[in-house]
Amino acid sequence: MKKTILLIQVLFITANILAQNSPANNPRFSVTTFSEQLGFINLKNENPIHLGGTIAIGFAKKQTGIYQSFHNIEIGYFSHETLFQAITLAWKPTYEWQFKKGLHIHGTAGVGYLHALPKQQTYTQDNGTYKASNNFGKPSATASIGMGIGYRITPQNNIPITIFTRYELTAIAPFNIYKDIPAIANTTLSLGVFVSPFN
Amino acid sequence: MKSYNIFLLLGITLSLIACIKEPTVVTSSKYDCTSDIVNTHPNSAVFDAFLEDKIKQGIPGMTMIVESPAGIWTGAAGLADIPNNIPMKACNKMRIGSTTKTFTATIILQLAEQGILNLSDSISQYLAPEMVKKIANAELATIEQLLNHTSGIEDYTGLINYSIKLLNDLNHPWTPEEELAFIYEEPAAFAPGTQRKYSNSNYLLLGLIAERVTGKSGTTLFQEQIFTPLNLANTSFNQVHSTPEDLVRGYSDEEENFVLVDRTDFTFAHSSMDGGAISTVADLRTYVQAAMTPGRLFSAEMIERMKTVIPPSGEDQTISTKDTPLTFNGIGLGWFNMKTPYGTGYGHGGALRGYKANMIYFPDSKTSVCYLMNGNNGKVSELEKTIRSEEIVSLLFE
Repeated sequence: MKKTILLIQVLFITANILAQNSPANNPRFSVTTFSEQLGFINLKNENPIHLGGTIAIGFAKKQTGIYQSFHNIEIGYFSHETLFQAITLAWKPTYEWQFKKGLHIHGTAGVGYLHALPKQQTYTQDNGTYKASNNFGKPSATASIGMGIGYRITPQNNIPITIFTRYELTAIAPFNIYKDIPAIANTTLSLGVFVSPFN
Repeated sequence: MKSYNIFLLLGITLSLIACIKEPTVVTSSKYDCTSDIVNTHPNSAVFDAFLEDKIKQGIPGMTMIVESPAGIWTGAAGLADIPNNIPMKACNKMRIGSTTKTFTATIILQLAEQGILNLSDSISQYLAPEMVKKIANAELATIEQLLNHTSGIEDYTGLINYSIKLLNDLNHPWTPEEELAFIYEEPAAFAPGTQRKYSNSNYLLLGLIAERVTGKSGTTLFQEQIFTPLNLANTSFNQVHSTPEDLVRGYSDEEENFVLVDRTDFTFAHSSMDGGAISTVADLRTYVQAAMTPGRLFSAEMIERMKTVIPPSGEDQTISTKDTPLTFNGIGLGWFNMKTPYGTGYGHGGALRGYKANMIYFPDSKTSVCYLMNGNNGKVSELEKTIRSEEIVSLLFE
């Protein structure tokens, strides 16, 4: 547990440092909702939809012409239909190419932390017999890459609001919920919105 | 800021723990059953103590039966349902996993004795041509090679795509065709007859062959050919996925530290002829004795053939190299051959998430032992491995 708290502290501190060092120190917020599935890219998805969502804060790092990069700190939650639910925290540098008429494409690569909790009651031995017990979950590390496309829906003079969709591949290790598989890939298809309220 | 972050994390974690699905409240009548076996074995107290010891070590619940010329004993220990604190009974039903394969082998061997098929026939004669084309070795492998796991046909349960599909949809009711689709276009493990490697796909294919040549479902075949003739009233196989009401809960040690979760409703192999049956220790003991007794299910010649291990030309991956009292010595026609200092044992085990089964008959000493556990994986599985390979021999014979 101490390690978990320490890791989260490190991510928050990193976010603060990034914010302070940002040349354009006006944060951009994003909210997404996504469907997630375990496994590599599978466009013909016949699996149940495992839903989740994220909230992120991004700090502009560099802007050159149509190119802009951000540091994003993202907190998320997703829920596997039967097996587990998880909270995630990740640092995701994002690279964005903005085109005419508000269109952009972006790519992300990130690392983070995932805390998975079983969705079912767990039992441990107590005085020779099994009884219900609390389970505070297990930690995993994550690494992700993703590609997305977005469109600014507000005019140039207003607060920038951009809707976007992103396809992302995340590796989770160790995968503590189902021990047959030590590490697992996880794909998400997200729909979200970027808002820069202080622009 | 620091304490705020910690409280935020704790708040989120506790909220998620609060979202855990609560187990259903039931009474002990849900698992009611009666046994007509009277314990006469002189070692009954030793067997009872053995079960109690295993429960203390971490097995959630266990049933067992031992029969030898000295007498019979059956017993149970632990819990059938942990959250409702319902004790296990010797007559309780559990999933038996791959022990089901011996039922499938029985159907095939009976069909061979009836002259409906030949064990040396290529399986391609009995399967749909489009399926044969997609499965490596299906054109060459024989029925006998499926039975003794020398076909080289890849095991669908060992493929990452299967594991991922299973993980994504743990309540999916599988059909054999869906399971076999995972090995379509997969290369064979080896040329037929050259090695031995346990493969669940072999028994899915045998099930399909039995169904095609008889025009009957696996459920009907098991019932008509095995369960009804042997009066196995507490044994069932349901290809339409469902969980019987009186099935005891199955628990899995996913974290490998004796932290159990209920896996009763996860559907891996629940409706296929490689692992879908449900039974009791008493029924398994009746079955294993009948299978080894000439004239009950097969002729004496077929029993000998069934028990005989024909070594493949190359490596046999089922042979145990460990120096334990019980070592695996290969697979006959559906039956494992196990060497012990007290004679050869014949039987089969089974494992599903949450359940473990084993059934062995020692013809030399006319001793049979069957046990079922409602726990599996992780440390629980390690305990069972020790029972099977080390402790069962001394318990029975020393």
